[in-house]
Amino acid sequence: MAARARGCKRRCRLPPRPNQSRLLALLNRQLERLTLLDVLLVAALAALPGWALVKTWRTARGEREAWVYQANRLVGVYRLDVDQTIVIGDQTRPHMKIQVRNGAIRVAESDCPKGVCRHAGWVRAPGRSIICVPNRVLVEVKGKTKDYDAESY
Amino acid sequence: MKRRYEDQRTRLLPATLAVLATVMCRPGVPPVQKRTRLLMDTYATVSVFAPGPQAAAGLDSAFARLEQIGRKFNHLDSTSPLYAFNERNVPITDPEIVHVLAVAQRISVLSGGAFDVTVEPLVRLWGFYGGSPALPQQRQIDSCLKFVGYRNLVIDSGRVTKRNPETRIDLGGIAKGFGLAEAVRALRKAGVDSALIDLGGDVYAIGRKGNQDWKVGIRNPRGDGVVGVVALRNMAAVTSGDYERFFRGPPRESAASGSHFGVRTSAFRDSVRYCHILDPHNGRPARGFTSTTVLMQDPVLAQGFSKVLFILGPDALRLADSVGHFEALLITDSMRAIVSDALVLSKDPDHFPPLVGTP
Repeated sequence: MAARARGCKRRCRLPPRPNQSRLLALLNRQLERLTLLDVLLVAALAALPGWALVKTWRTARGEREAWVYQANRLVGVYRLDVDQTIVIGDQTRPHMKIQVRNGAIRVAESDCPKGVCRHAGWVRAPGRSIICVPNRVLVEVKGKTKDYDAESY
Repeated sequence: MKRRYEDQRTRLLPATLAVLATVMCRPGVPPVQKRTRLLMDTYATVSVFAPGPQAAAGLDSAFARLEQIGRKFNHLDSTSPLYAFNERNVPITDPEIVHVLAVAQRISVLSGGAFDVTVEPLVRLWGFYGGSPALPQQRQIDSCLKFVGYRNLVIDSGRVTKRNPETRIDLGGIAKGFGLAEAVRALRKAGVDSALIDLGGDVYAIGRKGNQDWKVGIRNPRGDGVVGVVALRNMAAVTSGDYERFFRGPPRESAASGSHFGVRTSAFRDSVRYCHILDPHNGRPARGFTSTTVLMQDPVLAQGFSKVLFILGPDALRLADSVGHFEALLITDSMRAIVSDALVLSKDPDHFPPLVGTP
C-alpha cells in the first residue's frame, strides 16, 4: 500500500477556485485607491510590534541611569552601563568621586566627616539613592523596573 | 456617494493615528508631582497625586512646615530652644517641642528606658555628630551615663526643665516622625488626599495613589535593593538601621581591657560594626539587629518604636497592645527576618493586602 502511495505519479495541484480572480481584481481596485495616509497607517501598524519589542527588551535589560544632584541642582544624568567616574567639586581638589562600574554606582571617595555616602556601597536597583548631606549631593538610580513608590531605610 | 466615502476615510485616518499615538505614548504612571529638598539633615521628597495648582499649594505648605520643624528641632542649631536648653539650661516652653518630649517620655516609660532623648552626651562621646567616630574608654561611658536618663527631665504645665544641669537632649530619634505628622496635616489642609512623604527613608502614605495603594520598599540592610514591599494607606513606615551611620572598630573586650597580651592582630582590629543607635542602659551601640521597621498610623510613635525594637528586639512587640497597633519587621544580624502577624511582605506588590489606617 505504502509503496503504491509513494509511487503515485499524479500531479497534486489544486484546481483554481472559480472566484479567485475576482478577489484579485477587487484587491487591485483597492490598491489603486490607496492614498498616502493609508500607507502611513499601514507603516504605523507595522512599526508597532517592533517598537513594543524594543521597549520590552530595554525594560527587561533594566536600562538604568543615575541622576546626580548637588544643592538641589541637577549635575548630570549618567548611564549605569557605561563605566565612568563623576567628580564633584573641582578636579584638583574634588569633594567627591562617584564611580560607575558594571551597572552599579557608588561614592568611592568623599571628604565628608561621617562617610554615610561611602557606607551606602554599590547601588544598582532603581529607586535606590545615595545621600551626602555635608556635600549636599543626591544620587538617584532611576529605571523602568521600579515597583515601589518610596523606600524605607 | 464615492465622494462621501473618501471624506469619511480622510477623517477617520487622523483619528486612528491619534489613538495609536496615545497608546504608544501612554504615561506609565498617573500624574504625580514630586519635589525634593535638603532638610532635617537628609533629603525630603513629597509626591502628591492631585491636580496641578492644588498639588503645588500642598507641596509649598508641607515644605514650609518641614523647614520650620527642621530648624526648631535641631539641637545643634543655635536658634533652637533645644540648644538653649542644652547649653544654658533655659527651660523649654515651645508647645510643639514640649508635646514631642511628652510623647518621647511616654515611649521611654513603656520601653523601660530603651528609648531616651537624653542620650546626647553619649552620641557626642562616640563621635556620631561628626568628625571621626571612635571607641571611647569604659570610664568615659560610665561618667556620661550618670546624667543620661529620661527621669532627669521634668515636664510640668507646658514647661520642660532638667534635674541634672549636665543633661542634654537630642530629638533626632523622633523629630522626623513629628515632621511627617505635620507635613501630613499641612497637605490635608491644602486639600490633598493622596500623597507620599519620604523624610530620609521615614515614609508616610496619605490615601491611595489613584486606584492603587502607595507601595513602600524596605531596604535590604546588607545588599542592594529591598527585602520586600508593603502597601500602605494612611500609614507610616519608619526604619532604623545600622548600615548608614556606623564605624568599624576592635571588639568590645580588647578595647575595654586595653589589648590582649599587648598585641592586637589586624584581623581583630576592625571586626566589629558600631552603629549610631546607642543603648542608654550600657551606653554602647545596640547589637543583634541590622534593621527594624515599624508600620504604624502615628509617625511619631512609629519612629520611637523603631528605635525601641532595634535596642530591645522582638520582646518589644508586646508593646503593640499598650501603645496602639503596629506591625513590624526585624532583620537580625544573621539576616533572619522576624515579621509581626498581620504584615504581608511581597516581592510581587500587586497581590497582597494593604495596611490601612484611618485618615
